[in-house]
Amino acid sequence: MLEVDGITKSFAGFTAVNKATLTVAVGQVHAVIGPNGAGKSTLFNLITGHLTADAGEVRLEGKRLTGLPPHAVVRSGLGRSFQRISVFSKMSVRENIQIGLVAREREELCFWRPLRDRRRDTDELLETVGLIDEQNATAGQMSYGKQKQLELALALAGQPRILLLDEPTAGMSPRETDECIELVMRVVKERGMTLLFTEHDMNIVFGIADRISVLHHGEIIASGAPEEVRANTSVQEVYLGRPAR
Amino acid sequence: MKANMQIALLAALCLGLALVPLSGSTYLVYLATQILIFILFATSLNLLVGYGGLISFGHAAFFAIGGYSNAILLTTYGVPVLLALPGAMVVTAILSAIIGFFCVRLTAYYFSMLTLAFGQLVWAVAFKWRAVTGGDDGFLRVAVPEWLATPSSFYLFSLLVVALAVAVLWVVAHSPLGRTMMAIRENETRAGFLGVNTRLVQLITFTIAGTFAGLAGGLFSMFNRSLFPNSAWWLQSAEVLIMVVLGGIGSFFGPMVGALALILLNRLTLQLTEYWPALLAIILIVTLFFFPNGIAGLFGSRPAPGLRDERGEKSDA
Repeated sequence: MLEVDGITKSFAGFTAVNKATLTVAVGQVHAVIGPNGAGKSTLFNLITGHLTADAGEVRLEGKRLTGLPPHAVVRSGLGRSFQRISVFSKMSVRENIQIGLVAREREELCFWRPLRDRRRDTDELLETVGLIDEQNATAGQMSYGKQKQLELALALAGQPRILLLDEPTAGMSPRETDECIELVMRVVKERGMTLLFTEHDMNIVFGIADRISVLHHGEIIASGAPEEVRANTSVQEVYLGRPAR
Repeated sequence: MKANMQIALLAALCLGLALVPLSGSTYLVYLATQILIFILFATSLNLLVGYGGLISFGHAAFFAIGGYSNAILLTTYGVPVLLALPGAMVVTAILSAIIGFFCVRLTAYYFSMLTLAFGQLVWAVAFKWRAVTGGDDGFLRVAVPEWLATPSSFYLFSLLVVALAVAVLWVVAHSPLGRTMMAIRENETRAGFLGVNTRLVQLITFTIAGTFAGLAGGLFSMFNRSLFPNSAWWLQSAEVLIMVVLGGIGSFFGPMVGALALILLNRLTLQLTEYWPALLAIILIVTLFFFPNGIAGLFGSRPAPGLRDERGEKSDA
């Protein structure tokens, strides 16, 4: 589904991501873990084209994504969320979703008729992420957790085949975290999507991931099924800092 | 229901405006024509500034391009006005697209500076290309057709053209494109990652805004019967920007009120004092500090979505 091949990025001499290679299979839930500063977000931004890679390439279903502008990457079937909330904070929740639907239908250049309401599709997406009651709220004034739900809705709006979530539960309370993970897993299953995500909570990662890649100092030091990664001694040393339980 | 009411109200307003020539005052008819032309000019700029957050300091360039194109087609080539005016719009659209292609590549200040530079370039061309534009002497004796020769007939023609053009701009502002422009203004990264080709959206908006400024310029060339390079000068761009800010960046109709207010104030003060520029500066300062949503904001006009609580203050965390 998604192949990341030797992707590298340096910032002013500091190599944030070094020859990272990983493969995400269709329908899998794939986690990227690593300590703070390991380069997880940079890797995400390289995959989605938010940052330009110095070397290496990314392919989605065999199609080269490297060098494409964000909209072309998204149109290839990828949806992403941001670690720091990135929504249209002065618009209502409903208006946020409508922008997503306009983009999905590739109607953003249509200037010759008023915007259609798309009530059914908007409601459906709002119900999926549980924001139907907040549809008229101003996005930026909602609670952090609700904004994260909207962030997810926007990532889903384009009906992606692969979903990339960068720390979907960052900053959430334990209860919000559980609800969020439950929601993500339900949607991923319902829609038959492939999921690539970063997460710092090990319980979540080992609870839901089919496959885990470990990033350390910008390099992938291990990739495999949860048991393999848990048993990997170098992972235990550099990441967990202690033997596996 | 509410939208129908608004449309009915606007239709009534247009009908009311159509009665202005019955007043018998040539001065009033002239003044009303000038206001109509600048209403169109300001509304076209608002599409960029208000909806797109793209502050153009060179919008007068397109006013001038449309004006000169129309004047040249009418006078030099003897094209009938009903072809010359659309022709001027086509010329402006092409040049807007070319200039816009470069401008939308840059963001914020750099965009503004580049529009300023292109505006001055257009001015320089109008100034130097004597054989075609008349240069510094201006393009004189624009061949206005017989049926538009009286102030009243030209006023009614302008009213019709401006009403149609504003209706088109209204649709554009409320179209998927208009809404997407607002989204880009608020969060360009997110818009891009929803699959929006952000630059193309901005380029098309820039082109539409330029084209309608060109139409306003075309009308102006006939209204004034002549055209001078100063119509492309950056002060002209600044003046129309002030109309937009004064009327209210946050609303579709605000800039129209701004155009009306600024022209009326200009006329009134010129009769009393020569310090119009100073008064203009004071008006701008008072607007920015005390009613940042402009005149429209004073009357509680609901700003367009995504433009709420819009105030130039650095409050965004």
